Amino acid sequence: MDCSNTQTVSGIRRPQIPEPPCRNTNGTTFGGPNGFGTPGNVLPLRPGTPARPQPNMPSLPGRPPRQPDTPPAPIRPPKQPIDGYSSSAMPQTFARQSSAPADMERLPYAMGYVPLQRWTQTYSLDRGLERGTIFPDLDLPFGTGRSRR
Amino acid sequence: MMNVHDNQTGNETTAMKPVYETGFALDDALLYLDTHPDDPDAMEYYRYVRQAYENAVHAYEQKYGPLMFGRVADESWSWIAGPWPWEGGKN
Repeated sequence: MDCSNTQTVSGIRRPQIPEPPCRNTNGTTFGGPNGFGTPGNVLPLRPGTPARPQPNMPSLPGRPPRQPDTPPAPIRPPKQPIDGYSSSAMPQTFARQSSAPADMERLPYAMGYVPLQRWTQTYSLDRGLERGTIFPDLDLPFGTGRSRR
Repeated sequence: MMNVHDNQTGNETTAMKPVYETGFALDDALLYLDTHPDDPDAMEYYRYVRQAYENAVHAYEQKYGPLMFGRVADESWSWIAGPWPWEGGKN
């Protein structure tokens, strides 16, 4: 993998837009919390991690550690009663009212995750049958019309 | 015991409503418990809904006879005594 961040055209060095840092196959990053990469070396593996064959990586200039993007604040629907039913009551948006675990930012890339549902107050029996679920968390606004742009 | 005319007034539909509601809640609780077998809140809800379902089915059967053929509790085979579809029966 070529991680150089400049290209030479007609002898003129033209800087490119910085790319995300390269990842070693052992999951660590250049310029990550373990410090900047040294020429010709890869960062040390964590104890207990089995060694894997490494590609021959060229030396890199130091890169600052990647800051995780701050996600936008989730949209919180107004508080609504769980029991009872009013014709104007809308199911909640796709944002969950129960918060996601804080370490979600540090989960490895390239893997799919299924958040585990937690038990909450259920709908009343008649509302559950009308909404197709007894769980407010699963009462999602599918099929309520096209999105407007 | 069987009253065909009740169906025309919607009373049988009324008696079936809690059967459908509690039965559905039971089905949804099942899906949750399959992935959360040790959740005490879910187990408490399951017990509540199961009892409510049995009460609803019992209340229906008091008026309209056995709801499922495995629930015939009479001396003779009352399952065939209910209104047939061409007689207005739904179950």
